[in-house]
Amino acid sequence: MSAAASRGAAAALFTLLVFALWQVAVDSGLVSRVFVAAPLSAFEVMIERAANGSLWTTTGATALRLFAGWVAAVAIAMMIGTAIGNFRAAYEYLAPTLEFFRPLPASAVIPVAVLFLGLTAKMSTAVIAFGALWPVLLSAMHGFANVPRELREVAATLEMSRARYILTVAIPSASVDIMAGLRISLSLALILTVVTEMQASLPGIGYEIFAAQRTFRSADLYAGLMTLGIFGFLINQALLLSERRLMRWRAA
Amino acid sequence: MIVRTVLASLAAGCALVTSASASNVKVNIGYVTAADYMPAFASKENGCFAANGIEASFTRIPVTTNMPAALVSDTLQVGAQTATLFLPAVENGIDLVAVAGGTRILQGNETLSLVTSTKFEVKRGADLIGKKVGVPGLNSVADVVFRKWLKNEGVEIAKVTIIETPFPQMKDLIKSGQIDGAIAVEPVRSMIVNEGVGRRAAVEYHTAVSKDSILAFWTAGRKWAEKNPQTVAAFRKCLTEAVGWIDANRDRAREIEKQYLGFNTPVRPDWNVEIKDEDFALYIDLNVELGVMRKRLEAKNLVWNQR
Repeated sequence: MSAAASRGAAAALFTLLVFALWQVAVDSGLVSRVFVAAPLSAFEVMIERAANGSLWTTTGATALRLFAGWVAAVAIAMMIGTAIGNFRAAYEYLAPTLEFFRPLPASAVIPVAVLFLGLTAKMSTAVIAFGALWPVLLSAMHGFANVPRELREVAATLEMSRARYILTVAIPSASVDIMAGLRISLSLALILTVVTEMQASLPGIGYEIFAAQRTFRSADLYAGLMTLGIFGFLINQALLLSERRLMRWRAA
Repeated sequence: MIVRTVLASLAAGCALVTSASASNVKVNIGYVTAADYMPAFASKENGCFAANGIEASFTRIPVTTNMPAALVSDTLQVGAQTATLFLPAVENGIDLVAVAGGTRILQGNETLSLVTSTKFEVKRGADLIGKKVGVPGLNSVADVVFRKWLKNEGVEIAKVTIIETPFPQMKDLIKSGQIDGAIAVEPVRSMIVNEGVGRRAAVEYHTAVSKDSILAFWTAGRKWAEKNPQTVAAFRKCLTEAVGWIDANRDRAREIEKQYLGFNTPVRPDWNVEIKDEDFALYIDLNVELGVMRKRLEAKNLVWNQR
């Protein structure tokens, strides 16, 4: 068995152990079933939802909302990050204002977003974009600021235009930092997607969890949490896989 | 000799005070911001609770859904509830009982209504198709009965967007057009209408579904009620007396209301401490019909009775 396969098997075993302990804790009465559903009960609900199709529609709704906000966040962050990282004037004009907005928790911005955009999908996208852009922006800024001197000298020697330098030297050099920022940003985007779904009663996994809590259906609630956990794991793995493919040239 | 007598008297006095305090039961009462719970506030302020062995304290809870967990964890001993939240909690294994009634909602004296933007009028359910309506809580009594009314009116519920909207936000959200209407309780309802932000619907949806039904009531964990039967009886006795006391002492009652709720309600709710298992039959049917509950509970053993 290869090292990677061994690691995967060990991780799967650990996960099974955690679920087994959880099941025993509920079955033995150590924790109340009313507030903590057994994992098997939660899985049963997930299977039922998969069979009747609601699992796919709610996950699809959350995924669409997440990606709409995240893509907007990445686009905005890359534009501003590229400007600040490569143009002194942009840094001097924009950085102080950005430092004011950066520490604002995205969830604290929700009431303002509701006022302007109502309890709508637009509000959700705006909040997700606002919260998720900072990790990408900061990592892009850091990546551009740390382009190795040798590469900058080569670009200057070759009399590259600013645009060519950004596209062929700066962005590839900063890509490691940017990818790290993208992963953090994606996790934040998922959190904000769920929060805004609960806040605005928008269809999705967040709303399902919220509705389950309101009707005291603990198995449904934990099924929602598990769905969220699996979804988050899968999208993170997808991003890691994309990173390995896009950054293959680095290993070479 | 005199010193010994004085010391003995002091000791006896302390013992009396201690034993009196020891016999008082500490009851932390959870409530939400509504005039329905006035008799409880009055019972504390007019001394009835203290005179009957209840050391009452009050905790304002922002959302009624948190009440069952607070009761089970013993953070609260008595909590305010409505049927559409109480019944799913019981269905899913939270062993609660109703210990006293709070209010009923009667035709002609509705304390909560649909209010809408002044841009349109609601005479029937179809007038709300395509509109956004705020309800104070998902699966609240306002939400569930409203959905039942829409169904009775032949309106597909999915054609009306129902959004959870806290009472304090309703006026601003209607004014800004974010929602087209809301189910508002007093005094929020009067504020929305009196400030010209909205109007009451021409039809009272709740009493269109049921002319006379329980609205708010008091609950406790069954184990706590069984351990403290005298306290439950005293709680009910004080609430019953408080209804008459409030009517006889309107000025003082308004001060107490302002103290606990932060506002005065223009409408007098229909307080009623009597509550029976049969009162829950309507809400069991509604909850099952609208998918809030999966099992049809029997309307039995939901009200705690001293045996």
